[in-house]
Amino acid sequence: MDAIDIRQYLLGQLPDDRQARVEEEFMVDDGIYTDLLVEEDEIIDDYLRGGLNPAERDSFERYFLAAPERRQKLAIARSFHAYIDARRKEPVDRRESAAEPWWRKWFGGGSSNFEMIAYAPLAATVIIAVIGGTWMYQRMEQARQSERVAQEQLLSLQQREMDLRKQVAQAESALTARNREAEARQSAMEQEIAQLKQQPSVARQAQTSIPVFAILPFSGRAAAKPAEVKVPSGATFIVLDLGLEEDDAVTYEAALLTDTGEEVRRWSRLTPDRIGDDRRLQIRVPTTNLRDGDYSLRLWGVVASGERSEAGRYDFTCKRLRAESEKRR
Amino acid sequence: MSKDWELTRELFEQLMDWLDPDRERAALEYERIRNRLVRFFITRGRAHAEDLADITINRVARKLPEILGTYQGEPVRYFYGIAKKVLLEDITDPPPPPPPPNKDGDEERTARLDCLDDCISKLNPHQREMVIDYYRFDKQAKILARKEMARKAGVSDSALKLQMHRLRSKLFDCVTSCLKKRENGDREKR
Repeated sequence: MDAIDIRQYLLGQLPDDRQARVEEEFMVDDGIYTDLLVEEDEIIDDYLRGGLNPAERDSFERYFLAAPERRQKLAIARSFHAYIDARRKEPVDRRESAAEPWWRKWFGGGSSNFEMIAYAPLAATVIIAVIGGTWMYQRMEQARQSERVAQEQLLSLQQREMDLRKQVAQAESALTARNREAEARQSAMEQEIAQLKQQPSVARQAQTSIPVFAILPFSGRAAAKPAEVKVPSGATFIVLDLGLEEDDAVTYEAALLTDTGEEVRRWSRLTPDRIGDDRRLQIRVPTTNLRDGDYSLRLWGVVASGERSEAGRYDFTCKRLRAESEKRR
Repeated sequence: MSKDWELTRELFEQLMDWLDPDRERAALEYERIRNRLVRFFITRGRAHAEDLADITINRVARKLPEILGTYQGEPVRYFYGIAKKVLLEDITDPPPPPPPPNKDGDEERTARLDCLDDCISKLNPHQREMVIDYYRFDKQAKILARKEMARKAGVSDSALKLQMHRLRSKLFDCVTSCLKKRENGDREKR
């Protein structure tokens, strides 16, 4: 009879004939009886430590524990194992001497060398695993680091490429806008030239008699009446003759605004004339820009350093004159 | 099942004589047989194993005048034969199914741990060391540790196992007794 028979007997897993044989044997044989008692302890310990297979566990719960005495024994064993576990988990066992080598403590703080021997194969495996694992980890970490650097470089290059593309697009856009502006100016000039060529008499008339309107700067007085500009019928341009205040401006910029503040036209790099002590600025305004109504011409002076400051405001009321033939219509 | 029949002094004396002419050895044999009977009834899942063992002994004692001249063999085998009959009678009234093994209250658990502490403190330091060293490992580590423990103690593995079983039984008996005392104390308080 071996321990397996006894174990199966205790778990009620033996057929009747073998069960009777075990019982007869432990009745007469002290050794078998003792083995039976020891095996009972082992089965309880295995149950508590999760060492029973599912069938054994089932038999244990349904058959082995049927007697109250066994349930009491299991309960005490559970407390007993809790006590052992608590002692096992103590970080530095009270039973140990202070001069104990570090490796003893590292292996669990036991008081005897039994545990060292018990742990030796496990410890060797752990050490090999730790060393191997560390080496592998370092290699993988190096590879990951290289990959990260490469990825960062790639991202940086991609970002630079995007920036350059954006700059090129902006430059192209600006160039296109300038080209369009130049084309528009050229087109306007060609149109003016063509108009002049098509209306030689008018042009001559305009050339000889472009109306000039002298306008004084706005003084700020409410009572001051704005200058009146009467645009003759058929006139292509008029000239606004502005009297300038003394300043250091080398050139001027001007903007013609309607009474609602809408900008009609803008001029730049206008150069003044000096007639005697007066400084005057003549601005040629196409009559196509003018309707009946109030206008304000704003003037800025630009000094040699490029700084720009307000140089005056010239208000006028425009009135377009109609030809006799137009009036009859 | 009731004991329904008490052992008279005369029959008891007869029983002891049958077990061994030497009264001391007879008493040891009596205890030995009783323990086996208790273990038999426990393993068969009976609720009152000790009572059933006593019933078996009483029946044997009652039958003794009939068999003394005829029965040949070890007394324990006869006891076993009677025990099987007692078991069959008792099985007609099956015990209730066992409760789930983890169901016990905090109070009971605390009482058990208190008793265990008391009982462990009654062991001498060497015994305490042995208990902790013997039961602290699982699986492969347990086997290796126990072998080393036996080697250090200069005994065989099975001798150590037996020694530890006795120590553990002593401890568990102490805890059981402690719990009973507490239970009786609680009853008296009520």
